[in-house]
Amino acid sequence: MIEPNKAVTVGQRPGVADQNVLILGSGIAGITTALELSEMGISSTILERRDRLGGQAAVFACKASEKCNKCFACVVDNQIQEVSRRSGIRILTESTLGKISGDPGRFKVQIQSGGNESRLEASVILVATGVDFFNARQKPEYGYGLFQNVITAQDLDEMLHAKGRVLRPSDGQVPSRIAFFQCVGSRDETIGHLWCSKVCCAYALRFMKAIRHQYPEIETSFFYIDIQPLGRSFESLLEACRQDERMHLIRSLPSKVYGHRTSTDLRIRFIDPVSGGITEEGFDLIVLSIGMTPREDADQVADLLHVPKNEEGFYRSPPPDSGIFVSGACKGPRDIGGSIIDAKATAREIAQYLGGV
Amino acid sequence: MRSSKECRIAIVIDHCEGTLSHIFDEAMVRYFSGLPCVVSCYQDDNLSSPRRLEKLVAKLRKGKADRAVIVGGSPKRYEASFRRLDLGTGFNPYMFLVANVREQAVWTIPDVERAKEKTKTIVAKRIREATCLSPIGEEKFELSKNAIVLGGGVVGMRAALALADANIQVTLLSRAKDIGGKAIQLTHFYDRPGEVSSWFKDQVKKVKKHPNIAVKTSVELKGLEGSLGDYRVKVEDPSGKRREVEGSAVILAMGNDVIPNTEGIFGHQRFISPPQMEAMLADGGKSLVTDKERPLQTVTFILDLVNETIKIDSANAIKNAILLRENHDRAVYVICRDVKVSLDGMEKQYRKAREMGVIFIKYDDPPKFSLVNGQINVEVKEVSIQMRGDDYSLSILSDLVVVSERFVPSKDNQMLADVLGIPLAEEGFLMDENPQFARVRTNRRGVFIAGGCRYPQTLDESLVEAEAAAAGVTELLSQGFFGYDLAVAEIDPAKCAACLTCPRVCPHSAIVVERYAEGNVYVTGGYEKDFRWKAARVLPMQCYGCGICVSSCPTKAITLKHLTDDEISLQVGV
Ligand SMILES: Cc1cc2nc3c(=O)[nH]c(=O)nc-3n(C[C@H](O)[C@H](O)[C@H](O)COP(=O)(O)OP(=O)(O)OC[C@H]3O[C@@H](n4cnc5c(N)ncnc54)[C@H](O)[C@@H]3O)c2cc1C
Ligand SMILES: Cc1cc2nc3c(=O)[nH]c(=O)nc-3n(C[C@H](O)[C@H](O)[C@H](O)COP(=O)(O)OP(=O)(O)OC[C@H]3O[C@@H](n4cnc5c(N)ncnc54)[C@H](O)[C@@H]3O)c2cc1C
Ligand code: SF4
Ligand code: SF4
Ligand code: SF4
Ligand code: SF4
Repeated sequence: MIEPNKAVTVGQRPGVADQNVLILGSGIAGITTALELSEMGISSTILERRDRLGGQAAVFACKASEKCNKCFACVVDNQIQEVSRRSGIRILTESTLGKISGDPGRFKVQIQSGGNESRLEASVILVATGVDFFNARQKPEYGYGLFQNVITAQDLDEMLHAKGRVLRPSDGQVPSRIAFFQCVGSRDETIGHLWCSKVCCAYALRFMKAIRHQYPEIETSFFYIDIQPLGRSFESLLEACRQDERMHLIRSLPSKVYGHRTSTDLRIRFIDPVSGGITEEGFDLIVLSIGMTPREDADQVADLLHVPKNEEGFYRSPPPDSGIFVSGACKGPRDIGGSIIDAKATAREIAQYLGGV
Repeated sequence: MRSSKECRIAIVIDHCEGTLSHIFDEAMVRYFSGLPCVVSCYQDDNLSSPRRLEKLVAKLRKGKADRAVIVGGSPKRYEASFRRLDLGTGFNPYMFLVANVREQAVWTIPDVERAKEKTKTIVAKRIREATCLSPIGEEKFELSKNAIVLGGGVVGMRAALALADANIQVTLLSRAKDIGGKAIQLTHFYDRPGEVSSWFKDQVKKVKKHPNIAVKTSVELKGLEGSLGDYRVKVEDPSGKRREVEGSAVILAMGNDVIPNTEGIFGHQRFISPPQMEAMLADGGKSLVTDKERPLQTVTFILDLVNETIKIDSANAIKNAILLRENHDRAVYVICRDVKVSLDGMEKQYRKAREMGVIFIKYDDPPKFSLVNGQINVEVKEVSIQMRGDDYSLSILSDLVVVSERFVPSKDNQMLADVLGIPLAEEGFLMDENPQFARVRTNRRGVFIAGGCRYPQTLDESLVEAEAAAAGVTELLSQGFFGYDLAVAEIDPAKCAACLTCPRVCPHSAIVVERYAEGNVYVTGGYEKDFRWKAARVLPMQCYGCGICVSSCPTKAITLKHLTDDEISLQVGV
């Protein structure tokens, strides 16, 4: 029990290094944990491999149409700003983990930043390394990398984030017919990915709403297997999409994309659920809704820190006394809101481990 | 405004890890020291570190100054450290001002000399502002380390355990006769096969045995009032006796209600609800064969007629479909609009079900039901397997049809929303203050929501919410007190006309109107004795200092403590 008024320094578990929590990854999960820990007076060091903070979600564009569509992208911007101002949080970008020694509660960590090496002591290590986007080239039938006007949802997001407009890569013109292919890299036995990425249905629907709002003349089609709800406001989003006459929700996944020798137009082949027959249709922009996969270096980190994995290759929580915690999408696909709430729960577990609260 | 002579200002230069050292040369320090009212000047390399700040405060306390201006980076940089300062000592957060020269001068003006000039202007302005700072926030409220958890389902139990482990005394209130909630009816969870009942019993045992948890069951909620540090829940036991339970904070975890679908043909005995299906499977399937009229051969699950955007039914149907095939060799159909696979491990379960022969049929138009020789005929137009011809319907003769119950907000949500001023979402579930930043926290300080009363979700998703809500409470109570770390509004009772505008506009239910409150003494000419007037009062622990009430008051009776008019005019002045 802590004395009231003495909480300025949080109580310490005996043998625990100076409270410093090492956070691997500056995605929304890592940042949120750092902020929550700082609220409880626990300092942390964030290690980020890239040169910028925020992880995957930092490049997402706002997907508001006539109203906010609750995509959570702006939350990430806000948290990035907050974390760089907050005291007690050290941020090391372009840095990775080297060797680790010591015991739970008192890890000795080697850190590589650029060419430099440094060391620090950490009481706890939090793994919040997130996920990779699926590499769409692994589905050659969709022609990503082959046809200019086949792009991924991430490409589209970056385009919208940077230019604020939707343009065909081939000629910089506004497209007239856009197709979204769902489940690219997810729910797919042929590549051994037997999981749903949970966010991409809502993600693509919001995209379509935002695009249709900005360009009422564009026609969009959404090819899917099942529509996955996401969060509380999803019902109204889905209803609005169903009402929109120029937004076609088609329960069928296209089998192949065909290019054209003389034009950049694309044709796709799919089974039309209405007629039951094989159909072809033309589009001038195809967006692949890529899913999430375990990071390429997931095994390396897992071996180094003895983090267990599930069958799909995502991390599972190590035993609580190991001093190692996991949070965010590296535990399996989840949205930004889900990663935030998970990070809050993890911060509490860490504080409890440190014996502070 | 206070006269300049009365105040003694300390200047504290923060070099921001050396990044500002080129600005703060000797000449600059001399300039600062020469400014009016400045009695001392300290330098530090990194003040955003809580420890450095503590040391500084110790130094300041020994010195002569009674307020300080920090010259360095953005106020946000120091905010968290400020908030952790012990409010009981001479210095408190509101006796500090920050001159943000890093962002306002150094970063924006590349030319060093011009940046220095700008730095001087900013600091001079801040010094002038510092002369009208008045110490606020010295008051603090003791917060006892206790909390109330309302609802004894899995979510309430998990929250209670998390709090209790953090040494917070918990009173767990539940309407049901025993704790456990809805999940206790379930024999399996899709993602925790087999072990679930032992896991569950273990949780219940832990809760009951924990020295920091007091469980009160069979209680009916009658009211909730108070504010952070002093919430009081009124409950009634079966004998009609009422009592009050107190706690510094509250977690609402009352789950959601369900409405079984029994209209029209759904009232027929061969239509059952998912919990009834659970019960049939719980006894090892004995009740699956005891129907004399006809063996229960074909079981059909109908999904998405209700709860289309909630994943629970789909998870539950897939789980039970597998059990029915695996252990009881029944023919199983699952008829739905979309299979909800966005749950950990669910895609695999879905695949397993199909491999075991469960037939999934997806519809766009809802299926039709009729009675045929005591069986239910389910007619559905299949959309994903290709059927030749335009109007091809499948007809499935079923012995049992499982139709979902509608998940609806708990009937207590409305009452709680009314008494606490928490908004309800469209469907009637309790709203978070901000679903993006502050999920599970409500607009009422000290009240958190988790589980089905927020939105029905599966167990795992609900349990993280329980943990997050517990984290929120722990954070609030860990210090043992609540200081006015944010400036709060204040109402001058003499000016208040009790027009009831401000209590209505306050988004945090922080204003009450008291009839004859202590201190509302209004002396009017015609009365001999003090005449106590009705007036509005701000509850400081509920107030977030948003300022909305200030502008809404027709008589200008409300001020925000950290921004008095004096300060505003000074800020505008430069
Ligand atoms: C196509 C797509 C669309 C999405 N759209 C949405 C959406 O609209 N709304 C929504 O809510 N969610 C969306 N999501 C989900 C969202 O991206 C994730 O929930 C979120 O990014 C997870 O955050 P995280 O912190 O767990 O991981 P990440 O954001 O992946 O961050 C992990 C960070 O760790 C770093 N890192 C990794 N390994 C190391 C190491 N060894 N050392 C140091 N640093 C390391 C990485 O560089 C990265 O910066 C989408 C996901 C995808 C794939
Ligand atoms: C048929 C069915 C099948 C499911 N299958 C699965 C599954 O396979 N996997 C999975 O992960 N999840 C499943 N779930 C979901 C899971 O059961 C819920 O996520 C979980 O039960 C939610 O718990 P809760 O604590 O929020 O609510 P509840 O379990 O409903 O608990 C609420 C508690 O609060 C009490 N209460 C209510 N009002 C008051 C009041 N005013 N005052 C005091 N006490 C009050 C009630 O008595 C009850 O004890 C299923 C749910 C159902 C209905
Ligand atoms: S659409 Fe997304 S980024 Fe835009 S305001 Fe809403 S949550 Fe923020
Ligand atoms: S969320 Fe939708 S698009 Fe993404 S993997 Fe799941 S079903 Fe496919
Ligand atoms: S400042 Fe905001 S929170 Fe405080 S009483 Fe006024 S309206 Fe309410
Ligand atoms: S708005 Fe002003 S006058 Fe009206 S009740 Fe509030 S303080 Fe009193």
